[in-house]
Amino acid sequence: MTTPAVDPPISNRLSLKIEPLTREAFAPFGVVLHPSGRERLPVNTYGDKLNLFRESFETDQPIEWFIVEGKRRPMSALFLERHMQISQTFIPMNGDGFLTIVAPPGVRDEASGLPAYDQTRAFYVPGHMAIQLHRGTWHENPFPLKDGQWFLVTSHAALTRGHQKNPQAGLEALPLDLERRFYAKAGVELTVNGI
Amino acid sequence: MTDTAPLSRRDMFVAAAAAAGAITLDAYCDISVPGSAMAQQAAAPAGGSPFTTRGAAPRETLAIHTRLALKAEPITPEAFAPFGVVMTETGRTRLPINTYGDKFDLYREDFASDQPIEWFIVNGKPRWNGVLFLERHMQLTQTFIPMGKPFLTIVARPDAKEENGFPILSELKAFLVPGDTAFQVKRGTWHENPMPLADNTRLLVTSHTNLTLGHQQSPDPKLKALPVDLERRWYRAGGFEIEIATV
Repeated sequence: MTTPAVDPPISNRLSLKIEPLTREAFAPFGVVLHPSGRERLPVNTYGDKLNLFRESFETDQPIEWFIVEGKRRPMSALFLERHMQISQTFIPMNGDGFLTIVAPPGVRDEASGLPAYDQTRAFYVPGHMAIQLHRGTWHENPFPLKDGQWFLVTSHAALTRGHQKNPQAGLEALPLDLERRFYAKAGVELTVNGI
Repeated sequence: MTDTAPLSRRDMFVAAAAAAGAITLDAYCDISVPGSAMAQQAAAPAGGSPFTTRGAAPRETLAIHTRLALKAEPITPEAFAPFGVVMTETGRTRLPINTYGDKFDLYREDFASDQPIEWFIVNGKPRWNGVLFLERHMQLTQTFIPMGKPFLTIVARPDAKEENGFPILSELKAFLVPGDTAFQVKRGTWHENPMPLADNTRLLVTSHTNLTLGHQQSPDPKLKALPVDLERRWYRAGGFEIEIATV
């Protein structure tokens, strides 16, 4: 796949409303890593002083960590990407919230090749919560709300390599577990409003 | 070890702890089901010491014979290197990922596990800032990720010299971990569980199924056969009172 020298003019402007993160609202996309609504494990080593809950993690590959420092960038999607081999985890480290844009796995494609517009959503993730995507959930990378926000993100070796390619390059043929659909290439602008 | 007290029963431990105002009854694992798998495991632990178990608390306890106050130092990659890695950018090379220009800087760190991993989601509150036990896991490099609030940790290196079944006291280190700093211990690094400094201190901690089961201390006989990847050395029950000095 080669990159067109010039993107087509914007013919479709989409705007997403920011939604608060709840387990229910986020269920089509992944899970919220927070104790609320979970069953406490019967671990009583310290009485009620240390309460443990459990969440699954899925990967077909040995995992590794991305340590990410993000700055505020324009609140519009360059692309949505997805990974089929990992339930990727996004953990904010400063206690600062961030925005995420997601679309469910297996969602239909628009004629443009982009994930269905009406199922693409934006969430505000508070800084004391982490999110973990289902395999195949479409997503942009986290949008920090200020400079110097830190994240820990799960990855695997091929995915880490995949991110190091030119973002405009065609990655579909490589076993990188990284598929991207670009908005500008389809003449679409997807922004988040309310910021 | 200059132990002048005979072995005492669990209730004596609890009474002594309550008298010291340090540990509550609930802080002691329930292995009171006579003959249960976990009780047997505690009674005949690996390593030959009654204070080495695969999770469950020992049934016996010694009177305090040794006291140690540890001063917590701020966690830094250098100071923590014998025990694991600090998950910050310090000393790392930025990956050549320029998707968003200079708006998104990525670094990487290893993670190792012999088992499929899963998450502990932890919600803790302050407790006695001392060592009930040190535990270790050989099958993963366990990650401790605070969700905004600081905590204390006590660790000893994986190859710490042992004496009478305990990693020697001079090997123990206490660290203050800020709420925005995660760390990952090596396979086999001895550690107490995180000690919160405030209510609703939440962490994400990597685990695997048998480790999660090991922590549950259930008298379920099925646990006996599982490789729970949890080894504990019970300092407090062994007569060591090791706590973090408050300043």
